[in-house]
Amino acid sequence: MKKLFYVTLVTCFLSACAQKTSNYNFESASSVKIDESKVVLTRFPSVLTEIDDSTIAAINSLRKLSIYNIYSGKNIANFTTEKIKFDSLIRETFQKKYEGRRQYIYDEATAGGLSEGNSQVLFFYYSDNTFYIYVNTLAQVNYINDPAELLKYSENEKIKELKKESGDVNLQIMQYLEFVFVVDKNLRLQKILPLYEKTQLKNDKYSPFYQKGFAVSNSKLFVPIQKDDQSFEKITSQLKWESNLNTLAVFDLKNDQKTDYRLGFKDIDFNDFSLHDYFSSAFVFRKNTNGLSFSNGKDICEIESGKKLFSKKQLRTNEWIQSYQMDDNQNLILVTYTLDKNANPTEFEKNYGLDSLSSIQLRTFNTQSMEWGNEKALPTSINLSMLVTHDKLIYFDKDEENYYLKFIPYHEN
Amino acid sequence: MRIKSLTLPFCPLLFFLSCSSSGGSEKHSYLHSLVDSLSLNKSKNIVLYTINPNDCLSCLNGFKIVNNDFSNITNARIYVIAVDREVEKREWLKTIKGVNLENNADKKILWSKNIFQEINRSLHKNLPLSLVCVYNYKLDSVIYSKSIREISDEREFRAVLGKKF
Repeated sequence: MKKLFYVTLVTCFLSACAQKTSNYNFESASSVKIDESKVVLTRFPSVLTEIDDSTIAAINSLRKLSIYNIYSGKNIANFTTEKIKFDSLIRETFQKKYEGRRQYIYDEATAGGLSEGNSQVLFFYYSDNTFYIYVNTLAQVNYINDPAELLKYSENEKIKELKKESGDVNLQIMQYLEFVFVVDKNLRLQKILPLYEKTQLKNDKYSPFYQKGFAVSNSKLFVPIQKDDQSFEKITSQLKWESNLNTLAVFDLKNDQKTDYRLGFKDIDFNDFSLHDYFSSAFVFRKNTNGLSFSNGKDICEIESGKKLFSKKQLRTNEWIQSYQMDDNQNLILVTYTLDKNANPTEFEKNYGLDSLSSIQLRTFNTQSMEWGNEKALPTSINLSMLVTHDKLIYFDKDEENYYLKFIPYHEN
Repeated sequence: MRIKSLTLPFCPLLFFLSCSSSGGSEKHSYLHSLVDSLSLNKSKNIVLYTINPNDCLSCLNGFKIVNNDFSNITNARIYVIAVDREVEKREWLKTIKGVNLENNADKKILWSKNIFQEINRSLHKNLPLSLVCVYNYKLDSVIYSKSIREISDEREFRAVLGKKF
């Protein structure tokens, strides 16, 4: 009896030892000045993505995809759409696709905004030595023989009101036309994929939200989707949570109309999301040995199996995931931030659902033992576009004169 | 004991002095001082644009439309562009299209993120949004302010612009 008790105790002790906690050492930050000889930064670069141990890619001023060496700050290469003739591209793609129903009119001055430029580069995904770059451009669309689409506009309450006050209204509809530019590792353009409407998605009343992020794996593109037929009183209204809703659509890049769904609302929790939370939270795709995973800013799930890797229950109140990475020992390394609800918000803050940022931290979590490990507080003044890799946190910083690339190395004990 | 008796008449005197000094000087807004620093015609309402060059494409196009539609007005105009670094300013001036950014008697261009933030903050708009505002110097008051993305009808802006007080 005594022996049995002893064996049980030893077993318990051993199994407790096997439950590893994620113990990481965080080093101090290194910093290098950014080379702006080719591209002048006008805002913090976004969509930071690791290319290899020494280089990252990021989007600059919503116009360019730039590659930097993180140790020297050198701007190695840049991709822009400056040489793309969007008028002929639109003629060959959208105009042909909707011939007889819609008329597309492209004007470079409108597409450029205030400065030169013909489009916006808003997101990219890097996988297997290939960049998939999301580009959109503004064009005027005349729904000459597309009454169903035109109805969407003529039924708009503001337009109805304007018609009532001013009589006949000359309606000019500007629309973003979306493309994915497929580019190799040396930033040479391979092909351009026009992102047409998907019949199944339209029938199911969903719209893809490419600007929020996407991933490409095995010729399939995974993109967040929004429900079209939900109406909201204000930006802070709660999402209408239904378990049969889907989070991601999957498009076959070899078959334009083949559409599928992944991650239902029953798999990934949007339960207490407001509309503002949906738009402002970071949607992150990550690829590791187990395949693709996705975070909505609260939960992290494997996309194919729907298995939950991390639950929002582990987060503190008002804490959100900004970026994450899973190591080989099932440790999650996360950058999270917490928001404070303003006690006396102004009307503007209410309308835009603005909260104040109270903390940013680098944290580790072991998905086996379900325990938090080490944590490093980061200054709230730094830009939230951050990248967590297997061995460092990378982010941009600036002072009055220069931009800097900074990184905090870390390693498991 | 001696100190105590001196303190008593001294305290009301300080109180009186502090009251008279605050009542004597008029407190003006940040915008009032800004307009004072520029030699502009203050007799009419002043148009104020705060522009974030990194705002959304539709917002920047909206600004171009508003600016073009109101290019013939005789009101003074201030353009505050949220750019600080000289290198960025040069880059913008190289590529800017559809907007004339040259100073003249009734039009002042200010390149400053600080001023941009101060104005937006004073209007309780704590986001880097491009705004269209109408400021009345006499009243020292912003009588119209809207982020460009919220402007759906120029008639409202035009009506406020012509208002006399």
